[in-house]
Amino acid sequence: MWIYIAFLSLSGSLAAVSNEVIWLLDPAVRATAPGSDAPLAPYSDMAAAATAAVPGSAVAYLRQRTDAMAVEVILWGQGGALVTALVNPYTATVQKVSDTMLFQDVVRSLHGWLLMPWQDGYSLGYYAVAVTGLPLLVAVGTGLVVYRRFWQGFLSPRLRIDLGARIFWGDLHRLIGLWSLWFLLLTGLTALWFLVQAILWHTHTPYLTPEPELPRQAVPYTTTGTRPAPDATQPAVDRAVAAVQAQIPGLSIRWIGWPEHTLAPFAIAGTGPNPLFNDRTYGGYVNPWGSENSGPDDSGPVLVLRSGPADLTAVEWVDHLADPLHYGSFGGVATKILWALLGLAVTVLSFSGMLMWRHRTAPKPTPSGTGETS
Amino acid sequence: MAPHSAPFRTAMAGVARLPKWLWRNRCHWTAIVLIVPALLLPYHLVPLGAVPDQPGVSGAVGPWTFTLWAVDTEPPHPGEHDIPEKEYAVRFGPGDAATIRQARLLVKATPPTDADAGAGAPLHGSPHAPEAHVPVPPDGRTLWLWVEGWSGVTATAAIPLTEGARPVLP
Repeated sequence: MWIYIAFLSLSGSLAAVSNEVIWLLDPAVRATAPGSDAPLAPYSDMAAAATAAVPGSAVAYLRQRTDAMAVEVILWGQGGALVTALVNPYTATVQKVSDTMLFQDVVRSLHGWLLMPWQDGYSLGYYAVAVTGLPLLVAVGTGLVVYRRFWQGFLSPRLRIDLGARIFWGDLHRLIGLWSLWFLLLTGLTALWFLVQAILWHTHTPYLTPEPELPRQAVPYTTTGTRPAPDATQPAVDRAVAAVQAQIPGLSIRWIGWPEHTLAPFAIAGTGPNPLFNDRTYGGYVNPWGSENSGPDDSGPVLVLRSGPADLTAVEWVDHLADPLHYGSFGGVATKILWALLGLAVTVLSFSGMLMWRHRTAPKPTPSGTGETS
Repeated sequence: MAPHSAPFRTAMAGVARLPKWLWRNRCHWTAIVLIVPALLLPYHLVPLGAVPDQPGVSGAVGPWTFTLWAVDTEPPHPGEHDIPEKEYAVRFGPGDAATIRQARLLVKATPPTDADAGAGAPLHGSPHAPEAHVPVPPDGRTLWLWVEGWSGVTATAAIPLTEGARPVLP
């Protein structure tokens, strides 16, 4: 069991800083600005560059994980395969085209569901990982019971390195356990939410606000019998982004879902003033055809606006908090590194716990033995 | 089943033994959950392949041609609504996509009318082979493909379904 917890802690550490790791290793994933005050390119230019790089493709969605990362334009390739084009957000030039999973997604899949396949809304791996929230919380509880007057450990931390292996590992275990107590509690509780989330997905219980569908009359008919040409003066995606940004000051775009069919809206999401909430908390659904073509039920181009946590239901509130708290992404690189270090500490904690258990359960040395086992 | 019948007691005893059995074999479980990712890793490092067309039915709906298939061979599964759902994919003929305003799939006993324009499930996603998650009532035997062109013209095609809601040639 200890090695499983250690594996999850280690992979979680890597998942917390996976963007930063690949940023260091691969220049193609970086959002390098040509100048200090260079503006972002229009999203329509990024989409056009991506589709030009993959002939016959169409945009599925676009995302930017952090400001330092290139924009990922995910395309439906020929035959339906998904292809990712990494686009510089300042110059709208394609830096790389990948038809495999990106490093961050592989690491997240490894930590989140052990790479196990998904079918009908569930993955056994997701359950296997999320359920470890329970032993984590039990470990916190038993640790506090067994470690009497644990608060004294904060005032006088102790790590004896010259009294043998048993004493050393015991002191290290208590020291790490004490200082990572809040982290274990936080990751355990958020893992429990992931367990609830897995059950909700598995049982097909809707808990997120559904995407609105445009009224049929919101989309114009044409006399030519072919799709209307996009507005040449301002392409629909840029107009949609501008409409949402005008209503949410401080919105940093992280995700744009292209309409999946004619009556579907643009889905725009990002981070906002409250960094504790994930990058889907702020945003809205926008009519790609503009308000001038909308029917009587439509109040304008922005169909649904989510201007922050106040617009979330209680369950959505938990859902949008869980990821940033679990992976430490709410405070930028500093908290991600802190979370990665704490994850490594929990890895050591699992290992030291196993060693302590072995010391306690090892057979007592016989009088003719060699003394203390270590 | 009576609460104190022998099968009930046997079943409950089995359930009671389960945690102990899981705990006794914890080393094996740990080994499995660690070996499985190692075995699956290579599959996550190769190109994401396209979903190939499955054997399906071909036909015409108004001026358009189509091939429709069930995404998997499983029967309809529980969905977000009270009615079980099944996924279907459609590939339209060359050049058809540019003239199709929307296309929907619905399971219904009678042919859909214009009043059903918002019913069923819209085909969405990949423009090459859009899919729809279609509610399939237990007694549903006909899948309707409803297509509307950009000029407003509409057309329907009926596709019979088998017991497991798989499409068959009419």
